[in-house]
Amino acid sequence: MSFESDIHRDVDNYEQTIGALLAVAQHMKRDHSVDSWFGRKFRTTDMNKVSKNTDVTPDLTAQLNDYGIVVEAKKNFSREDDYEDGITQAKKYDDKLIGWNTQNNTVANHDIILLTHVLRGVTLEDRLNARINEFDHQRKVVIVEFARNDEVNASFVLRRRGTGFSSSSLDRKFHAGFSVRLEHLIPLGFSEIKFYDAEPPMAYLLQIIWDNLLSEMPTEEEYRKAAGKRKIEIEVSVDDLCEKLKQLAPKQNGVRLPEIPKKMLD
Amino acid sequence: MSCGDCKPNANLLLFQLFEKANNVKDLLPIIDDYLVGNPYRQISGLFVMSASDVFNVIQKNKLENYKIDKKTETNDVLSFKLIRHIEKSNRSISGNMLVLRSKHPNVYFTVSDGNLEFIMLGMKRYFEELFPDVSTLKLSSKHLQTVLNNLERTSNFKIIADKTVANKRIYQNKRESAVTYTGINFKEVFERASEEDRWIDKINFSAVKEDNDKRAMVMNAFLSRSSVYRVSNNFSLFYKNIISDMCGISQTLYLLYTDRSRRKHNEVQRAKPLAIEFGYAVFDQPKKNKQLIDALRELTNSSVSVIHGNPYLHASVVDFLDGSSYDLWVLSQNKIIIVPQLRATYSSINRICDHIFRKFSEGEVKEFEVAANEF
Repeated sequence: MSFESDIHRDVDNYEQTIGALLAVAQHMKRDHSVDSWFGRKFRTTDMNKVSKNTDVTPDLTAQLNDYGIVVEAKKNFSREDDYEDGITQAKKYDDKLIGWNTQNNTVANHDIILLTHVLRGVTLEDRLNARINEFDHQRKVVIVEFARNDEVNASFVLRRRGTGFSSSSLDRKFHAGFSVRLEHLIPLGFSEIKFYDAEPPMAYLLQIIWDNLLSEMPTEEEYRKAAGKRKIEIEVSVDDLCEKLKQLAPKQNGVRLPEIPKKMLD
Repeated sequence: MSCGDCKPNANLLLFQLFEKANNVKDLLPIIDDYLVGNPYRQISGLFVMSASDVFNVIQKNKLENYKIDKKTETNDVLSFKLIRHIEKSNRSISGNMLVLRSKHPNVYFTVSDGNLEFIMLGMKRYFEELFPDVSTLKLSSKHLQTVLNNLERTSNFKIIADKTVANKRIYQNKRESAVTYTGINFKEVFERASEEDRWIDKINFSAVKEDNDKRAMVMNAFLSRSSVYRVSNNFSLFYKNIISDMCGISQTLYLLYTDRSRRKHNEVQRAKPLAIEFGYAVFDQPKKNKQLIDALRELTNSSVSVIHGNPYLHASVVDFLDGSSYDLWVLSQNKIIIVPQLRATYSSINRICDHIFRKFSEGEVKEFEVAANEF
């Protein structure tokens, strides 16, 4: 693999993961009339096995009355540590999370989805099963695989592996598998949501800064004077860029999450 | 102005047109008189759209190499002499012109007795330089067909295509133009072009009155996709039918293209995507994505980043003329989805869509929607 194709692969993985998360959201809305939220913030309890009394932000959450779903996504588990990270995240969400859209901010039960590419699902399941006794989770951890189907209309295909959902209607659908057209993700924010709760590839980040942020900074008058020929000087601080990048992440209760790590821009 | 046998003095008529006309109603009989009986006299112009008052934009913006000598201004008409100095050949071209406010709030059209060089290198170029405050109307050949259809239906005259320029996209974005002298009904010309996968770019046409075996030409005009028109006689008929239709189309496009920026009052809003629909499977082979990318790369003063090229297409386009940016998606065989980003002016959307029409394939720009039964 060349350096260039590595960059393409990383960018594609990142964008596919956003797409797969939206595909889950779209399925929830279409088939179960359930709203989903990107990067909603929750508080763990002092019973949490990983981080007690801290804020956590699953990549996606959905809620149907007193039942919830939290989703952690990663297309590629390319390193051994990635599997560990995924399992640790699941462990972190295996808690009576506070922050749901109910009166007391909790739900009776929630399932945890680990969303990954179809080529990684079996290994992830094996790793999870190998840790099952140590993990001792109280909530169901469901591995959902996705793959892109590039036939006539580009779409995502999703289905679950072994363990099923607590909700039987949800489980039926995820067990049989379903597809979601990429075109149908546009109204949900595909092309608007540029980031999810994972560090983006540098090339992807730079492309967004160049195409979407820097291009917007000069005034129309400055553009007219430059007439497409002369250079326009732009002065911008890292703080300013971080603030603007944040605006391209999904908005939750008036707050945009996640934040792009400042160290990526320093 | 007519007084039996005596012909109106052309200079006097032009003086009345450029110095005295207060509104459209005033100028129609003046232009009709000016054109009558002299096939070499022509009136030309084009259509522009703007969010601002174009009279103010013209008077406020002092463009390098252009000079405006204002003659008169009323509520509806701005009259001036436009002088352009062409640095390359170190010469100047000039002409008198009127800018007229249409009944649509964002649409204006121009009137000039200038020659082709003045219209194309003076007037048209001047408005292009006012981008993005002003945007010249860009039509599809379907729009041309629609206005001619309406003219034939409402006037009861036969519309004959005298000469057409039809383009065809051939391998690697090369274009093949064909000039045809037809003398047949315009509908047939458009049908033939469509069968040959061509699009009509320019058309010279006549409105003909048929009475038993007699045929009389009542209007002779020219219309192009870049919205430049030319009329040789019967300007009133042209105005009542073609110009008013073109202004309506212009306003519709303006409303479709406007207010698409995600940035509003320092807040970032949901995107408002558009779709170019082709009505057939234009992306039936993966190489078509490549052809679209090549076409996009021909857009001057812009950059194209391809995030995913095959089998579906995701590209990011930046327009360096005003900083507008877009995500472009091809996710099915019959449409391109354009998702405007933080800044997206109507002028830039007009420019991008026209470029895709000219360099790739003609389609129809619509609000992007997913049907409820599909969703």
